[in-house]
Amino acid sequence: MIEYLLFATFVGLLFHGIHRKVIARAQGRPGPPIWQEILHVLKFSFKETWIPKTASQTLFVAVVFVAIGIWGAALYLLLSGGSLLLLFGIYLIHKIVEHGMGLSSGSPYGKFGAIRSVISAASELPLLATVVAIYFFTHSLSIADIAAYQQVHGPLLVIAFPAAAAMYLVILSKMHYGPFSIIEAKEIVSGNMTEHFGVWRAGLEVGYALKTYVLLYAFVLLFIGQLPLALTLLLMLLILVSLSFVCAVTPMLSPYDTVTIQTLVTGALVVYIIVLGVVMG
Amino acid sequence: MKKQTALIIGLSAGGISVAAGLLAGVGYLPVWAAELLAVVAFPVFVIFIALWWNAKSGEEDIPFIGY
Amino acid sequence: MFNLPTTNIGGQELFVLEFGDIVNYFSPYTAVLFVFALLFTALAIVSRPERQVDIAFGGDAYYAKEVDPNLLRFQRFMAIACGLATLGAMVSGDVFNFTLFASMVGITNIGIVAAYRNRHVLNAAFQYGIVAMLATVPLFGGAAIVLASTGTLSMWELFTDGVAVPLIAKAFLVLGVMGEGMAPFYVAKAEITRAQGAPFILMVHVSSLLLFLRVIEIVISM
Repeated sequence: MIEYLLFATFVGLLFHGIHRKVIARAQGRPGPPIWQEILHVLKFSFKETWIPKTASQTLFVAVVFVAIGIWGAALYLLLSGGSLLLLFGIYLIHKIVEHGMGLSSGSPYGKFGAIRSVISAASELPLLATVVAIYFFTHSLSIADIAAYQQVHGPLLVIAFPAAAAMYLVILSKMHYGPFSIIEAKEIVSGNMTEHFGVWRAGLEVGYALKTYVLLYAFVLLFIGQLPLALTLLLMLLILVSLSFVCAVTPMLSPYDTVTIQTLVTGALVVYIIVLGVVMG
Repeated sequence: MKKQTALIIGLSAGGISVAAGLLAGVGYLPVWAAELLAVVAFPVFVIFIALWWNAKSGEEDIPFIGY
Repeated sequence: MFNLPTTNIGGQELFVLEFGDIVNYFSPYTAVLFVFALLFTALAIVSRPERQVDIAFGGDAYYAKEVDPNLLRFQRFMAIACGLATLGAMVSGDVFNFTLFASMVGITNIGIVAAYRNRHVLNAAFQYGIVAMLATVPLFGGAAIVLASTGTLSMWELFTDGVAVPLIAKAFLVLGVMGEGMAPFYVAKAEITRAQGAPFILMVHVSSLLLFLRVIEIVISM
């Protein structure tokens, strides 16, 4: 059981490192070694740790546990082929974690990050549209059924390309240094993570590593199909590198532009779903 | 928190998730229950092991804190 | 005795709770949502609010606001009420019950912030209240159309293939829940987060997100 979580954590952290490396190379910098994020987590875990005096102490600590727990649960959900709707639910709970993380510290920077996280709630809607579009084809939201459907009919990446594009945007909006990562923008220090230092930050990085692994794995599973582990990892890496290129060449958007783009994508997908509904009855 | 308390909690959480995996493997525990245990125990394991190795043992030098 | 007709969406039913002809159900999906609601309600019960730190611009000075015990008590009460309403909505097996719980979430959400004496917060709470009140029209309207067109409000009946729910009723239900605080209508909520009391303010968002997750399950299943 736990070996899956440990494996996903290490691969996720390695992915974060590769992400930074690719961004750096695309921008003509040498960049950190790819295992840098693993070292980061170890470094943070050795730092002196306490809870800020002004923080809402229980919540401040609890969000770290919840952040790791939900993405651990999401990993098992994918492995056991559970409901796709539940993955969507976990994604929304992650929003609550980001929000609670920022609010709990009492720091104004944390609060700015938390409010930006609420405003960018529009990033969930493309995922919902993806879920509905997939349901149109498979008539089931069980991940096992979706994988079985693809064995018969070929990958959904081809059949339902707009849904895959929306899911891609969802993953992009959760990547570090991306055009949509306004909640951790540097003009508000580290946004909602500002006050989480030491062990708490190490825990959050573990949770985020699991999140990256789960989202990339979900993309491969939902749109390409059930493949051997090595091939899955390779595809995840390719998707990650493409995301890194997007992150490297796009500036961070302003909060309002973020919401606008995400809403437009959702709107386009709603049109797609309506067309599907008309065409397929 | 005492260094030893953090170690005990962290190790027991790790032990629970390993034991859950083993028990599910030999069929004593339903897989979903084992997964639930692992999901709950894993964050505790990560945080408390980290808290254990950064806790003070009480033998450090007093750092120079300025004039 | 009961068979959940839509196992392909939320999973097999695990446990049902009968209240007369209203049968609440726990599938893996609703059970997980229930646990999330329970978790954050428990957090609202056990944690104290943060002390907000404000920076005095132009210098190194900052000040931390004090926690007012009376305000804390009222906010905590409202947050727990909000948590209970969310818990009810998560496992409800009846469309009307679900809409009732959803509107109760709207009311308690205003209660959580309305006690905080700050002009911006009160303004935001007022605007949010208006949107939430307007949203109850499509919310209950949706439930009414469901009843009028199918003759039942029980999800056990509505989820079967034999019963066709009109699209407009589904759209109204989703619109109603979105009005309680989801994407395009949450704008009034941004200023609410100025209020002190992180664990309680967090309940405002937990409840709306969970309600939205639940209504999606209901609408897809119908």
